[in-house]
Amino acid sequence: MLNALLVYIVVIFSNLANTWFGYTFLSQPIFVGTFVGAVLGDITTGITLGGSLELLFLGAINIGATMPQDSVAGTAIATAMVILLGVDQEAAVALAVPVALLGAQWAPVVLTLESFFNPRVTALCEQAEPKKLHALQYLIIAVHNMAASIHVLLGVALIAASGNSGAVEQFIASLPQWLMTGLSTATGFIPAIGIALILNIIWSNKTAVFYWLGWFLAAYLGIPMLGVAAAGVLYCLVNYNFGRTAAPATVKAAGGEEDLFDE
Amino acid sequence: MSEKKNSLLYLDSVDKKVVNETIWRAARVNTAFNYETMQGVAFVNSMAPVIEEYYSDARGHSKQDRITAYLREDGFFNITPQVAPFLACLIASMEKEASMNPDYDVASINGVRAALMGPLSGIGDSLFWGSFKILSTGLAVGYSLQGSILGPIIYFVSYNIPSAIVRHVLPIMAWNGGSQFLRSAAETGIIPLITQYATIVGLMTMGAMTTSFVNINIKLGYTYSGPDGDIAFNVQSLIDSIVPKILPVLFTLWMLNLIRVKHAKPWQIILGIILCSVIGVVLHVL
Repeated sequence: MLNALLVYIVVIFSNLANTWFGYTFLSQPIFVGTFVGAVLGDITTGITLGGSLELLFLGAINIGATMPQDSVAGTAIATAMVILLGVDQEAAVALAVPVALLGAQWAPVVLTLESFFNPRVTALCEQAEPKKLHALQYLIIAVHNMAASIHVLLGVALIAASGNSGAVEQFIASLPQWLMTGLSTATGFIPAIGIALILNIIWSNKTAVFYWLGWFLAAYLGIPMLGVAAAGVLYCLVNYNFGRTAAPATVKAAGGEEDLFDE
Repeated sequence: MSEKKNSLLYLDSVDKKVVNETIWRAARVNTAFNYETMQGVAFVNSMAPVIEEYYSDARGHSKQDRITAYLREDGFFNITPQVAPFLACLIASMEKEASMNPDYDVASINGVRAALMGPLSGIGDSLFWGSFKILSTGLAVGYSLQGSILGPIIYFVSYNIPSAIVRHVLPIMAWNGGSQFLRSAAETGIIPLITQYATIVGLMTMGAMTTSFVNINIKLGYTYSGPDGDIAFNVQSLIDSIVPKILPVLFTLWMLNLIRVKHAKPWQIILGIILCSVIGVVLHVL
């Protein structure tokens, strides 16, 4: 139970360290895995899992107000399963996908309930009470962070409670091999969704060629990712110094142009 | 000294306090989020420093002026959190002007707020999600996978240096330049140019990332038993020998099409992938 509380506190810490300081990204899997590993006594496993899950949850980005996958819950619970129960890492990564999908159902409940604070905010504006407004935000922060990670607490408590009885291990072992292999295979595909979701933000017909250029440099010439990024930066510098006259016009055109995929 | 005062980064002691407080409060827009006003609670709170300073009794304003100002800033707000301090300082500078000029068109404050949330989020999303996050992932994940603490450290540092500049330096320029700053930046075309360059670097990195992070392995193939022995034929190695890593790229672009054109929800796609993977494994295709 102590372990479950520790993980709960660590997850709250990660979320707060992210939002409090203006989106430091400390709630990304690469950090959550590391922090959970550190408090559960196996930081190396935490770092490794954090890396794998960072790739898996590349698409767990909150744009607008939707969070398709709860990467924090997925990472914390998968890491706890490996460290506390000795579950195979590959199996834990595979199980993180359904856990994150399930976990994402909790946040909308909390965020809807928090709308109840809004009339109070307006009332404080009507009285011009900045100190009380500030205090109210602290209250909301406390309520939000404690409530938003309850499912992680419950999940890890379940794992910790089964530690002696072996219930979770038995459950995982009882899952058929084809299901686990299928889930593992799916984790190879899922980063594509993450890349696609990010591409969706910046995609335009005109600049699509740069995506293919990145593929070409990596696949045919074997240039590592950072080399490709460096090539991109160099291209931009060359363009800035020698070919800029047309650039602002290009950008204006890019905003209104037809999509490649428009039907 | 006069040169320093003309700098876009110069703040006198009163403004320094106001701006710093505004930046920190606005950086926390996502700490108090709800589905109705989204980041509204934190945003109106981030306006408190400028309202308390420039609409104070000492500056000849009444409590009613402060109430009007607070109510003006209360309500829906949603922006990429990394650029929230920028817009907050821009709005705060307009509030400051409005407090000193009775003829100020206060409707323009909410107008700028509503008009800029979308475009600034667009720039912020492509910079932070499309570029910085991708670069940090590419830099750090390799170390993480080897179990090295360098992974998270490199990720943290490489991501937070550029974002700290956007969070803490650019807002000061927004405060000093006011809406004029944005207009002149738009005229020189520097903002779309930066966005476009970030997009290019992000796209190229993602092209390379696709080849190493997306793993598709088709097991389909057959063994032909000829007179000279068995000849193994495998779809995957055939494809790889002609166009290496094309399957991950095509698959990613298909996902992009599903999201962009078919408006499929990510969870639907994920469930679909799991289902197809399980079927593929059972049929020995994947």
